[in-house]
Amino acid sequence: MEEITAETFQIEDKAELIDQMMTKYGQEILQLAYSYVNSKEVAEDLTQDIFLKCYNSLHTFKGKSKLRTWLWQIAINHCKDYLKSWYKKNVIDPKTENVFDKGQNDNVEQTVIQKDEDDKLVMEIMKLPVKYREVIYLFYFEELTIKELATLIGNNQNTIKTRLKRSKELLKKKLEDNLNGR
Amino acid sequence: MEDRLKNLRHSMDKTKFNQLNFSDQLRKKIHKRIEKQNESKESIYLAVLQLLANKKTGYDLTKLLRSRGIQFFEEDEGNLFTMLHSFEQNGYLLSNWDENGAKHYQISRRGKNLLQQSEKNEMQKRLVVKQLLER
Repeated sequence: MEEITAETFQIEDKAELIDQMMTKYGQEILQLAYSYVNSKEVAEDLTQDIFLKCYNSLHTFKGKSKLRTWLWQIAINHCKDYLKSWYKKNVIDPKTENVFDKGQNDNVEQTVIQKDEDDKLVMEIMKLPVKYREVIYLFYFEELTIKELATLIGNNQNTIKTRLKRSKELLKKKLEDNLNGR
Repeated sequence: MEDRLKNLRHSMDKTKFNQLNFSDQLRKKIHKRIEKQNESKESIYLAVLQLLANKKTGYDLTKLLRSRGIQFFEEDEGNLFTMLHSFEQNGYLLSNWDENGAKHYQISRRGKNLLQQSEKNEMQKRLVVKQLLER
């Protein structure tokens, strides 16, 4: 992924910079948010908040990290804050409720027909607790390195490795259970 | 397991992410929110200048802002003082300390001119706020 460099950062018009960032990173931030909240609507709302936050904190960006890393940190923190928030815990959004089984709602047949292997894997990943889900997502989907993960999530590299290993064990077990019809 | 996970990018694009799209609509919504927020910031800056037509302490100012229904600085008074400081640095406000150690602020001639400009027309409000914030 090509980086927006410090040079482009000199642009005076903040709104224009944000626009460029949205062009470049909008889609991945939306997907990242989705990987945390598992709902299209909430992910879109959070993406809005994230770019707004980014706009308001641009002056704090010191150029120590890459702009993209910085944006991702904001995004990850924001998603986690949302998951911890009172709102999330106390208000059940009818739209998110059935999101795991959206396919089933859309089409009854799909509940009967065995789900595609890929589908199952993704579904199980989305059911993992956040701390396991995020490492799987960032490592395998975004193909980030352990080091990058450590920076983004704010843990040391060994913790990340352990978590990855644990996540895979959990997933494997879930998938085996599925096969055995449990 | 490892292989299947290595393939995750592909499977997720196919299953979960095909419904996700960072649309123009979403982009526009974000721009709109930024704009709206900036507008309200602008009116707050101008309200501060207006309220400082007479000498006031920062504390008095927070009370007056609250009574105008401006909640921008609620629980974040520090921000107000940062703002007052930069206005002062830029010469839009005058200040002095009284014997109790409280700092009083008042609009300067320069600030008044600026305020008048902004009251003349809406379009200029933008420029004025830009001026206020620039060093």
